[in-house]
Amino acid sequence: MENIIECNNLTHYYGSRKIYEDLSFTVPKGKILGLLGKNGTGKTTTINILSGYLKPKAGECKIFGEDITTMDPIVKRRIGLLLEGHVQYTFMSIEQLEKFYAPFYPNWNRDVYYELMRKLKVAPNQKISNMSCGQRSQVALGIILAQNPELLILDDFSLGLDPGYRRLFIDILREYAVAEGKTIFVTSHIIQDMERFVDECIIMDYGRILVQDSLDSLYNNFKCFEFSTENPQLELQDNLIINSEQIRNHVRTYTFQDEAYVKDLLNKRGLASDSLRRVDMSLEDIFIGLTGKY
Amino acid sequence: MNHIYKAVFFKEWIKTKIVFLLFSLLSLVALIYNLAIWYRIATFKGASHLWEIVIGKDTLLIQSYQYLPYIMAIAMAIFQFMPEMRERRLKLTLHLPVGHNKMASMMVLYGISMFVAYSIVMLAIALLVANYYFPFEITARLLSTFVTWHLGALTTYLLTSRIVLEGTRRYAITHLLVSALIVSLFFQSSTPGAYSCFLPWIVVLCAASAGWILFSIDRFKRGVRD
Repeated sequence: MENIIECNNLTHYYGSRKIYEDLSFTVPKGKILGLLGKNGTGKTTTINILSGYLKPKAGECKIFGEDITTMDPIVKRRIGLLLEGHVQYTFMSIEQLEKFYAPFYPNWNRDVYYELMRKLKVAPNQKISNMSCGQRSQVALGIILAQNPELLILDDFSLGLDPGYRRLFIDILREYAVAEGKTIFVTSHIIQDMERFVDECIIMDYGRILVQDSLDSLYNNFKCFEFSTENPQLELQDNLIINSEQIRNHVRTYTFQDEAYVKDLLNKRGLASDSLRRVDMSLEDIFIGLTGKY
Repeated sequence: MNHIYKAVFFKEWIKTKIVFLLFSLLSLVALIYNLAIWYRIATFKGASHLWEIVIGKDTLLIQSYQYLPYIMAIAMAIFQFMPEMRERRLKLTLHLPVGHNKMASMMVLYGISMFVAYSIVMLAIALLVANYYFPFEITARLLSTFVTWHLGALTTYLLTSRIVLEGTRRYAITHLLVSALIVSLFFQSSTPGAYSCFLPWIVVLCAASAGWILFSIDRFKRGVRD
């Protein structure tokens, strides 16, 4: 399958603070891929590198087979960019915004833009600065959809939006992406939104990628087991146990191994395993399981 | 490409139309007020008295007008580029499918075009009135003085733009100090025509100031910040 985004051995520092080293990942064509990570793990750094606004200390990043540092400006027509906070030209009105962007994109579809604006029920001459956060997000979305790009890069698309606007944003975008075979690379802190939106995700921790996989595969392969114990300070350390947390007598343990492995581990430690049971996980649980709580 | 120039000029006009029109009006009022001094002297004391002052005291009697173009230049640069730097909106602009140097050049070209248009109008009015009251020699000195003021103001616009577009405080302060030094050169002498022989160098300085802006844009593109 063709890869739209290819990043190899990315390394970046801010001063002496290492963000990550030798980070590599790909985004296949037609996939909606979410980048998840705690604050400070390098999500926005990655977006900035991908959008050409940050030069990594080492490594390369290619979009559509072209190095982003030497990319032909015309190729940018194929990339829709949503900045964190749905940043737009607030000094313009809806009409002015459309009039400004249209000449840059030969495939500009003004009907798509105005159709979305009609849903907002705002006048064409209303300034973006006089709109709510949610309305601005829809304007930003309208600009991207009208552009008709092949790749969409969305940085924290749900920032500042209420549940209604977040749901609207996701539903419109997902339907558009699936119907038109678009590729989307997205970050967000609201994992429930990502769960509803993405096909695959990359989960990062400080300095590295923990996992890159489809959601279906993660749900099947990454497991959470719960059991009870008399020991109030049990430390269940093992190379194949990713994380373990205990609240009073209940222990939760996260692993890619199966139930038999965990049972065997408990037995070797002289712990009772009859209360052991597998727990269903949401994407947020998987995220916490892989990265741990603070 | 014409459509793209139009689109960029359209955006820049939206940002700057109020400040441009306001300062154009203020400059016009100031210019007319200053030129009216010639009228008053010529009417109440005679044209010979006016010539006596202008030639004898080596002055054009319109010195107070000279500050307006500089103030307008600073205001234009701030109103044009500050909105791009808020929330790092410049990222949107530079993401457009046009090379970032080309995009920056188009934005600066807008500012230069508007400033040149404004300067031509002010100069035309001043020359028209001067032609009525003075011989060619004095009108020529007025032309040279006006061009120096407006070129100095245009340089100020370009230097201020560079400061506003600078993403790091350290460099912005350095640019500010250097720019203040450069602009101060234009205020070393108030004698009409004093800078006549330096005009070619002033043009070179102005052109160089336009080029320096691209360094700030490049630093922004590379993600250099505080």
